[in-house]
Amino acid sequence: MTTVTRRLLLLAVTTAALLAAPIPSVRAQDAPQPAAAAAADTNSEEDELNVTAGRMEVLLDGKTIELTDNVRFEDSTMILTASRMMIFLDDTPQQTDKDTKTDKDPKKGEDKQREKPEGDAAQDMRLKRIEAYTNVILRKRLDPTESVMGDNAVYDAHRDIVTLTGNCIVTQQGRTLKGKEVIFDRANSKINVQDVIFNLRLPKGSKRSLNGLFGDDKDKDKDKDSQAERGGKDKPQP
Amino acid sequence: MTTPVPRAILRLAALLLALLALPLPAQFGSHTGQITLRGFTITGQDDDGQTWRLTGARTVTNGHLVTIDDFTLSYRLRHSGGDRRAGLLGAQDGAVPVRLQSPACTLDSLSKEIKSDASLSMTIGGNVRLSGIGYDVDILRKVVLLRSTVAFSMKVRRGELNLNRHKETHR
Repeated sequence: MTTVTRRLLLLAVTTAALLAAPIPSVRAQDAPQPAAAAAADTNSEEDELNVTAGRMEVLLDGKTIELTDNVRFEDSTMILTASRMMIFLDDTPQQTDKDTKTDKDPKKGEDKQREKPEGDAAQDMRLKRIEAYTNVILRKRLDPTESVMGDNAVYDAHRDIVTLTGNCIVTQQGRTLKGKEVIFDRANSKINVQDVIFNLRLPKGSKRSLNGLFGDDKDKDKDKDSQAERGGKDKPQP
Repeated sequence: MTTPVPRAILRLAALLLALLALPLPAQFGSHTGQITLRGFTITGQDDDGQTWRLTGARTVTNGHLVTIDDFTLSYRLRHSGGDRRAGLLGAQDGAVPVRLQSPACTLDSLSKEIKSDASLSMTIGGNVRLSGIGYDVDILRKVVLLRSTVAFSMKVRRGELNLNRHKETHR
């Protein structure tokens, strides 16, 4: 081997070694930055709703999506199934009371959190309303034994309530009651039934109270308190 | 290679090889009337003045039917109006970007319809994702029909659905 060839080989080996060495600046970019970590925290404040169906029609100009054939809506609060569903989206930036209050809010930490979404709001769609038709069944995520059936349902995203109408049946721990309209307040996880038709079969000689049937714990507590006050002398009223 | 003649031949061969390796923008099949395009991007404006961009890996035009492989259609959705404010919605006309991606489709330039049995994934804005298998797009009506196994997912901020309130009640 000549000297030139050796030098060339040495140069080639050095270049290869340099190329193979990890570059610190690139590695630093890979590591999560504090800003990225903060963004991840913001993402954790997000909820995701998923809908599956057999068929879907998207009206881009109307910002409306129609789903048919075994429609299933799911999010962190409820599972809703229906034969047909319409999803109404909105692309106007959110300008709520909260936003107007933000400017006057003395807490700077909260201001920062709310300032950021304004830029994203132009890019993101907002959920306006969901309408479900035919054989609507709603189940609570936290308590799947509690469910509501109805002909149709409307979910108002702004008020965060679901209103079921037509032949509504509420089932709770095996017990049922019928009503014309059922309102499910998602935020408080409460079900309100309008114009209730109540069929109840109690065994003869039952001392079970009506209050206890639908888990009215407050009344139970009151009864216990009153019993305690009376020193447990009197028997509980049926 | 010491003699000058082989060097010249080598240079010529290298030049020819380089030219052959270049991607040709279009091939015209005279006997079939087909036009094939590879790696194309087309931009345009619709009647409303909205800009769109179509990119594809390969397209074959046969009369009024255009077959496109690996296509991406980007479009900016016209804003609902009413709350349009300069600066807030961005400089572009139309605030919400829409993107459709599919491995294959056929565009009918007469009926202005896109049809395919392949899968389609679609995004509206930054938080809505749609997907399905088999689709029809009516370009004029701006309607997308997904034929089977459809999925819709949307990310919403917790405050938007009052879920913070929900959290507090379950503590």
